[in-house]
Amino acid sequence: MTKWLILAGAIVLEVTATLALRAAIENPWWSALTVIGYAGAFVALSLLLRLGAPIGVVYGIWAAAGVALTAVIASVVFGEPFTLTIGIGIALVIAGVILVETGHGTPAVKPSESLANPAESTERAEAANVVEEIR
Amino acid sequence: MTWLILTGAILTEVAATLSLRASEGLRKKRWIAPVAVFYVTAFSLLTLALAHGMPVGIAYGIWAASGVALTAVGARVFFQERLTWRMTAGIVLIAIGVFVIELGSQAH
Repeated sequence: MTKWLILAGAIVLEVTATLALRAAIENPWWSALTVIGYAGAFVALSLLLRLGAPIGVVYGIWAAAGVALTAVIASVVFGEPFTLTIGIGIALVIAGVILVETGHGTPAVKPSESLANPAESTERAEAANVVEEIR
Repeated sequence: MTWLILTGAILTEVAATLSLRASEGLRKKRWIAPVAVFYVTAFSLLTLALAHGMPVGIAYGIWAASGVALTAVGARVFFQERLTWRMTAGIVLIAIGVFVIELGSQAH
C-alpha cells in the first residue's frame, strides 16, 4: 500500500514538473517547480527501489502514467490538440514502454551456458543490479 | 526544425542515461560531468522544442518513450545487456506510436 502511494506521488511530481516546463515558456519562474518536481520524483523512485519494488514494473507504470496524464492535462490546461490519432499514438507508445520496462524479466540463461561460464552470468546479474539501482 | 530539436533532446537524454549506467551509480567520478552536461542539454532542448510551439503532451510522450527504446538498444550495444523479444516488441510499438503521433499532429 505504501509503495503504491509513493508511486502515485512520483507520478504526480513528474507530471507537475513536466507541465511546469511548459508553463515556464511564458513565465520562467515555473522552472523552479520543474526542478523540485523532477528531483522529488527521482527521490520517490529511489525510495521504491530501497523498499524492494520491482523496478521494471515501477518504472514502466511511472513513465506510462506520466505520458498519459501529461497529454490529457496539457490538452485541458493549455488547450493543446488531442485528436483520436494522437490518442492512439500515445496509447501505442505507452504499451511499448511497459513492454520494454517489464521485458528484462528473469534471465533466460540456458543451463549449459551458466555452467560453461558461471563467472560471466554472475557479472551480468551484477550489472543488471547496478542498472536497477540507478533507475 | 522543431522535430530536429526534439531529436537532439532525445539523443542527449539517451547519452545521459547511458553515462549514468557507465558511472555505476555515480561511483565512477569521471562519468559525473557527462551525466550532468547531457541531462541539462536534454532538458534545455526539450524546453526549446516547447518554445517553438510543440505541444508538451506530444513532445513529452515522444521524448520519454523514444528515450526508453533507444536506451534499451544502447544498453545492448555498449553494455551487452539483454534485449529480449518482449523488449524488441515494445521498441517496435514505440516506433509505430511515435509515427502515429507525428501523423496526428501534422494534420493540425
